[in-house]
Amino acid sequence: MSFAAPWAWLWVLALLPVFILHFLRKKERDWPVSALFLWEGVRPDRPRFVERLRARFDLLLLLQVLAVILGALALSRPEREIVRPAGPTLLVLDASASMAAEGMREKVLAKAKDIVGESTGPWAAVLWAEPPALLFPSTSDRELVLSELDRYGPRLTPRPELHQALALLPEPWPRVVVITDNPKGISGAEVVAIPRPENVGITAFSVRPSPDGVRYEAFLRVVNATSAYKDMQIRVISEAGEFWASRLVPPGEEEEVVLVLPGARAGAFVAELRPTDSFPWDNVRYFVLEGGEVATTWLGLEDRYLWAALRAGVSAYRVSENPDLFVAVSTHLSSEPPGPCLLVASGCPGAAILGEAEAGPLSAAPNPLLENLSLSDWRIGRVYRQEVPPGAQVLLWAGEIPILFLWESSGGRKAAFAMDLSRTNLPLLPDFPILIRNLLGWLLPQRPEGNVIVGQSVELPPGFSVVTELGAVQDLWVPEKPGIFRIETPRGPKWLAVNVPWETVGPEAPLAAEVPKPLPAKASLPLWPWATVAFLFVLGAEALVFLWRGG
Amino acid sequence: MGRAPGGFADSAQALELLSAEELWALSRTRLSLRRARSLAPGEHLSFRAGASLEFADHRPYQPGDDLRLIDWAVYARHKKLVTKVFSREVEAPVYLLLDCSASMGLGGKFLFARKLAAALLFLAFRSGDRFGIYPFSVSVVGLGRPRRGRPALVRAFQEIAKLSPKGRTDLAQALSSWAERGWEPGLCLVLSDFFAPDFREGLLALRYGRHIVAAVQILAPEDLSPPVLGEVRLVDAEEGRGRPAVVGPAACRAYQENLRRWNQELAKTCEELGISQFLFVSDSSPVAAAFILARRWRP
Repeated sequence: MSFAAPWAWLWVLALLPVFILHFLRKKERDWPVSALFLWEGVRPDRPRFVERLRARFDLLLLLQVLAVILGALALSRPEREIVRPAGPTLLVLDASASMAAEGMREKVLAKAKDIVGESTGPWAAVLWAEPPALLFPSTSDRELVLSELDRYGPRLTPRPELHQALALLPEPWPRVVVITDNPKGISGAEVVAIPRPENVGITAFSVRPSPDGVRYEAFLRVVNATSAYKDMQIRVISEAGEFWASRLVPPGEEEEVVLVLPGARAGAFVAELRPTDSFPWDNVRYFVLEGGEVATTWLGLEDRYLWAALRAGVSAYRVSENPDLFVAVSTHLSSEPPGPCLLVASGCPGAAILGEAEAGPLSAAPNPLLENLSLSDWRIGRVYRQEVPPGAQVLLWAGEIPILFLWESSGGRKAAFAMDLSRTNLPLLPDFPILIRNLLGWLLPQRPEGNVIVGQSVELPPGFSVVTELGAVQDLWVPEKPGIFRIETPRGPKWLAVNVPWETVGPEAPLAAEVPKPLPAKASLPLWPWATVAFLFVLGAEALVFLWRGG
Repeated sequence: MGRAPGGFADSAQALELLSAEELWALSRTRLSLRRARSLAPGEHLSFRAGASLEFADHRPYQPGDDLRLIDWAVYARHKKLVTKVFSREVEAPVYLLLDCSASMGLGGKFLFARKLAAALLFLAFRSGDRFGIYPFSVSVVGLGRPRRGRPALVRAFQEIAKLSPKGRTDLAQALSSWAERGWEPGLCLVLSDFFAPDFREGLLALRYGRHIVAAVQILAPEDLSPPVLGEVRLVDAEEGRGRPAVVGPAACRAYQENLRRWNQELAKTCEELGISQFLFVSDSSPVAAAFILARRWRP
């Protein structure tokens, strides 16, 4: 029982004057007798305790005390929560990747059917995953609901915001029940939290070729989200063979693993974790070198730092003709290259080098290509004054001089570094391969991505197709399960890795204290009318007793 | 059931004294005593010799006696002339002295006394006697002469209906002052709880007036057996004074012993004075009490 106005209990202080008036009043009862002289000489009895108590018992005082207490109770507006069968109920079933753990589907269905059984309907159900979907629309047919619920299945995709799932229904529902394993951030809905099973997994997997081009380095992060030490066996499979590593990971810890994989040419890699657990999707990770291999034609001087940065970003190899990318270093091109081109201290028609100059303070335009760079670490000695083509987008300035700009021409996209890399510290900084990789992403926009997540749409250029179990897919493909998929391109087959994002399963379920309180399928029953009736009844009884006693 | 005789039933009922059934039942009874000291002829047998048919005694013949009264059978056996003496039937007024003190108001005693008085007056009326009602507390209130007949009965009923218990009792003063008025000797009924220390003087004064007296004591059930009250303040209904007491079983028993002694004293006094004593409890039927009085009251 709760009180809407608990301060009203102060009215019980009114008992004080009631008691004062009672004790100020005469205590003995008068009993008229016909002949008092007959009572003369009668020795008074020694009253027993019960009789004393009875003699001191005053019904009027009891009624007054009761009336004051009931009055205070009524004014405090007591309420009692009572369970009422819920009415219209919208079930939001979390179908994100984390729900794909073994046994979770059965738990979700059991909870959902319980809720259906405890409510009067109508019901509707929404699958809360990317993209959200309506499992069944509003219906009052309980049997139909129970059978439709069996169609529930997790999707291995992340989940969107809750309101996006609720937007599938035209009108808001009075009761929304979310069944999920991650109740964090849910508000305005009743939450049924299902505990996650303990999990181990690979949180990150990446492979890069070594600068010398004779081996690969695989980087993994493994996590032990259990309450015990785990001896994790990691196996990386490439075209060159299998490679093993082992780590004893403490509970709740995440560790890095680096494996060196011999082999000159490899495109796809698989990392597996042993032993597996109830959520197998994060025990296997796939990786494909992005876009497959990039044919490169090198013009001008050699620059091993730039080559290494290119190799870190893409799997590049050199060709003499028909390349995917031109790279020009410290040279002047007599004509514009017929394709994407990266100019480093090089000029071309429309972007000629005009001379050298001292570098001023570095400044940058806000651009996604410069993300994750720390420009303050850059040390630049001299730069070139270079002609900026019309419509070019300048990313970096050294004082007033543009030193990095991008433009598009009929031949393809171009990027120009107006500086001599050997007179800067840029090749020695971690920013360098990041910047080169970002620039390559802009220069080669139609290069298929190498790694996507389940549910992420993949736009396929003309002539590209993906081979799936259901056949070849063109234009747009949304992968529904992880794995390595073959992409047919005009230049030959490439590979695409699809993974379940760790973010959808990785974060630990929040503590119970953080779980939002469920909107109860309960209702408050106001008790104050009853208390008021009781108060008035006692007041009436008190008046009657008062009158009966003769005022 | 027929209509109550006398034609005044409406008055009795309207005054809530007696119901039609009670009046009907009472109409079949007479209030008659075997002895009275009045000289007027009536239904009551007087101690005096008279001309009734009831034989009373023999006495030696004296010149002048009616020769018809000589008992010739005695003369034949004893050779002595004796004359037969017959009882004389006389009329005796009925005086009802009703205690109206405050103590009578407890436990329904006064209601019982009013009804009993009404029933007795009705019996007197049915016997053709004169009757009068004389309420008293410290002194007697009404001092009208006894009358007979229906109008007198209605007036008496109306007077009874107006009465209410109040004041204190002074039996000695009230009864003495009434007796000093020199009423014609008759049947005198004192309806009271007799909770007055000087009742002997009052009853004695009535006897001095040559009345045939009945002391009708009316007590309430709580007078006879008071409840266990615990801690109370006992208040005298007449005097208003009180005293704190713890009324438990032992105190009740002590009180009942006091009451028994008091009633013994009253009975002893009545016996000494030749007064009939009756005790009625207020939760019984007043009409039944009237029947008892009519049948058992023998001087």
